[in-house]
Amino acid sequence: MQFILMILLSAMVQYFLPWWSVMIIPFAISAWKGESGGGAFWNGFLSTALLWFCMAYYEHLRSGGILTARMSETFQNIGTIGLLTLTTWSGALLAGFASMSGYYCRQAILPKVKTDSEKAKDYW
Amino acid sequence: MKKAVLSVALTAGLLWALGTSFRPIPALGAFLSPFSGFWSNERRIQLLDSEVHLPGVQGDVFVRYDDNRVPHIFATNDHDLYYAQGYVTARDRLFQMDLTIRSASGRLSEIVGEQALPLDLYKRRTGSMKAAEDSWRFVQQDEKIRSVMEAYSDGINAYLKNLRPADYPVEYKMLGFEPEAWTPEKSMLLMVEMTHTLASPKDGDAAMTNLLQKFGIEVLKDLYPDYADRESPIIPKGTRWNFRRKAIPRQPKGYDELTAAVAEPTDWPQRVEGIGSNNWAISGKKSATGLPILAGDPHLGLTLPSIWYQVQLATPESNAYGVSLPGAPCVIIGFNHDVAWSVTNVAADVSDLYAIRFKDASRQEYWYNELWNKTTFRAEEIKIKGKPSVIDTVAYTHHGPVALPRYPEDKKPSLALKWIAHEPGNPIKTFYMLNRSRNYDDYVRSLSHYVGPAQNFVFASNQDDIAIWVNGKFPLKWDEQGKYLLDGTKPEYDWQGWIPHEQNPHVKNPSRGFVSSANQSPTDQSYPYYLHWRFAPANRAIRINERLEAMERATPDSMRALQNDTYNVLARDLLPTLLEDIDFGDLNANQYSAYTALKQWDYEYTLASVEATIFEKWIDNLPFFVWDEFKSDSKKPIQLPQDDQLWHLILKKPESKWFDLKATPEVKETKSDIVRLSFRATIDSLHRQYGTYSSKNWAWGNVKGSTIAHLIPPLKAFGRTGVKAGGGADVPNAYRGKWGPSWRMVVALGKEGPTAYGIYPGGQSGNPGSPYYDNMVNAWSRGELKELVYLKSLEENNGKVLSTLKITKE
Repeated sequence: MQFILMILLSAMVQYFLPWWSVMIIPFAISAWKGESGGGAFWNGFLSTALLWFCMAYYEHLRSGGILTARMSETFQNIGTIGLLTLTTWSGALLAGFASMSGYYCRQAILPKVKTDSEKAKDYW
Repeated sequence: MKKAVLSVALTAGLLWALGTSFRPIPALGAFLSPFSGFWSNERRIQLLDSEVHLPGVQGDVFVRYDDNRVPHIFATNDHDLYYAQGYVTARDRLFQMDLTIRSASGRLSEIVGEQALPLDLYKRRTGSMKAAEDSWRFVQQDEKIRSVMEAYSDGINAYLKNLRPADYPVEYKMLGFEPEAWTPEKSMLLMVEMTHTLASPKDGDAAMTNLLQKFGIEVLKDLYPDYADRESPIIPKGTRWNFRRKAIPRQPKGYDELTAAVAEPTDWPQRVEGIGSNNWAISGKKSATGLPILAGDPHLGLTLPSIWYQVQLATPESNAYGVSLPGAPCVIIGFNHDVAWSVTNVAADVSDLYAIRFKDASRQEYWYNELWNKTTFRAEEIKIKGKPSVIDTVAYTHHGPVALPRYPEDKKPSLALKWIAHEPGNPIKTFYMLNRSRNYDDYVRSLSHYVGPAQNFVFASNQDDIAIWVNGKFPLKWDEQGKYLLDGTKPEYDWQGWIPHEQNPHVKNPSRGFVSSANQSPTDQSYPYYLHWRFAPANRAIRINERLEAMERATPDSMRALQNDTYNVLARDLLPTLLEDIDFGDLNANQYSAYTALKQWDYEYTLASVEATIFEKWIDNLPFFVWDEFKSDSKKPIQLPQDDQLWHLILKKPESKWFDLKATPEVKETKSDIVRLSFRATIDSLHRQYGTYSSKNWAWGNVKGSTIAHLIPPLKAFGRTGVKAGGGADVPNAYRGKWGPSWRMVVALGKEGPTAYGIYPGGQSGNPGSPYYDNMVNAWSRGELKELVYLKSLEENNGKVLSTLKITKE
């Protein structure tokens, strides 16, 4: 649920704000709903990876990839796949860390104390 | 808590890394984001019908795009026409327009940093911005042109207003800066920039003065004459001048004030030798159609995007088609229903340097006409990316800006620049009127408003008139005024008036049935006024005139063939004499192969020609063997005699003392020795550079340049390499590496409207992600032309029209 929400809201925010807005939604959602540091990281990372990859690939496909080819040449011939990978990783890493920060910041300010049943669930 | 700090720190570090540009790599975050980075530039290809609402239009405007992405703009009035031209041009060429203006105004350092400072200083000190401001003030007195230029500017700004950063052209994203609002002043600045390109302030005045001091006037008269030996002038020899000539100022005595050695600054951009163009028109009696055919191919720097942008501009009153300069309204080279025109450069002497004597280091007063005169100052702030600004205060005398300031510790005089770009003019009025001309008289009226850069305007109409005017505002000079530095302290050295426009060299319907120009001398020696001591070598002109002379029942394809002609008349006239001196007994294998090849050469500069490679390198080397006395012993610039002078010595004065080499006082070399020496040296250097003689290694196509670079050459991926086409500087197809035919046009006039063809080595879109970015390059290199879609009305049904953009009032 958090994952889907992250993708949808993040896409909307990034359409209107500059590129660094990629951090906003993962941070906010993990601060609100995040359950663990690692979980928050992967939510941010994977949602943004999927979003950036699909968007970039879509733009590439619908234009015949002329510009991708020229850009690849500028980036020492890393190729379309290389550019897509570089793009995906850049966005995903930043979003992942932002998301993790969201969770830990919330924990530092307003720690969520786990109930016994949650602890048991974690244990099992 | 600790985890929170660590995690935020990690995020911040990554944000910094992705947000910082490590030149030349742009800041990766913004650049790679599929929402705002380069990926989204791929989608800026609009092929479908669409509609936009803009605040500035008065009625509906329809822009029909053809299969070459040429906009055909149909508006109900002039205001909407030029508003829409601004809008669609910006949509395709925004970055180019912006960059050209930043470069022209001396503001490149702002975006690329300190490395551009010398160029910026040059632009400031030659007064580009002031020239544009003065011209715009002048143009505003003309209500019509003022409104045309404002509408064009508003159209560009309407496009900018709705542009999101994600939609900025990709170059902005790579270099990390933002587009800027347009003004009519910027359009005027573009005209000044064209004057920089075509009538550069660096005209060799200081270099010539150094020569004068070294060799004396007699040698200069002999080797630097004011008229070339091999010439085929634009106005046919023997044409009579039907006017009463104005009184020409008297030449003052002596240049004795100028004994101090002077140099043009080494960081001024080099003047490009032989930058030029061809154009011609044949009359109905020479054409298959019975009406004139006009052809034009301006040679300029070849870049992507191209300097030209095709457009059709139609209102109920006018309908012109041709190429425009992105950043200026109207069609610059083109045609309408009744007439066609094209231009080539006139290299008249319209920039002179004056030696200035300041009273003291404050530069507040300078000596002129036996008085101390006040200078004015203009502070130029040059912003530099990542560094504090540089303030350069430029002093202005009545001559013009002090383009080359010197300071007290330096004994040399400061040099002020008198330059045609500072003469306020209204060039857009000329083009506005040409776009609407219906006959010869309209054309001449249009030309009378033109100041500079002077052009040879060739003309043809469907009333079977052809004509050519050597057109521009020319200073009235004494013979050789401005060949050397001028004394800035005496009024008799000033420009003292102008040649009346109606006395500019021109000819209408000459008996030979054609008019033509290729940057050669405008006239024979009978023209009463001094224009310059040198013009481009006449080789292209001689070939074109020979071919046109021979033509009968010519078609547009005959014109196309001549534009692509690669026959070198210089080789024909010179090479047999050179080869007579080669003694093939002395030659090694490479030299012998080269010699045999040259013996059988047809003088064509085709891609496969080995002979073209050898001849070209040979005549490049020859001057250094003959003019060894001119080798500069210091940093002073030296101007070698024109090549034509060398051919004159070889063909007619083999006994000349200049053939003797200075380095070997004990031997007296003759012409034959020099020819042999230079031949062997040429072949040996070709051998070192390209390997053993073979039809592949030494093929002209492999040796000459074949790159069309992006406006910012380091962006290699946005340029084209391997553009293979024959040609050379001295043949009609003047393609040589970075320079060449930037637009080829052929227009067959007709009573029912013209049939026209054209092509340029580029594409209409400035977006490197568009298929229309470089789609014409291949056809251009094969020498093909595309039939131009000239729509007679908005409703005309034409299969080549793919989509329509409708602009309506917001």
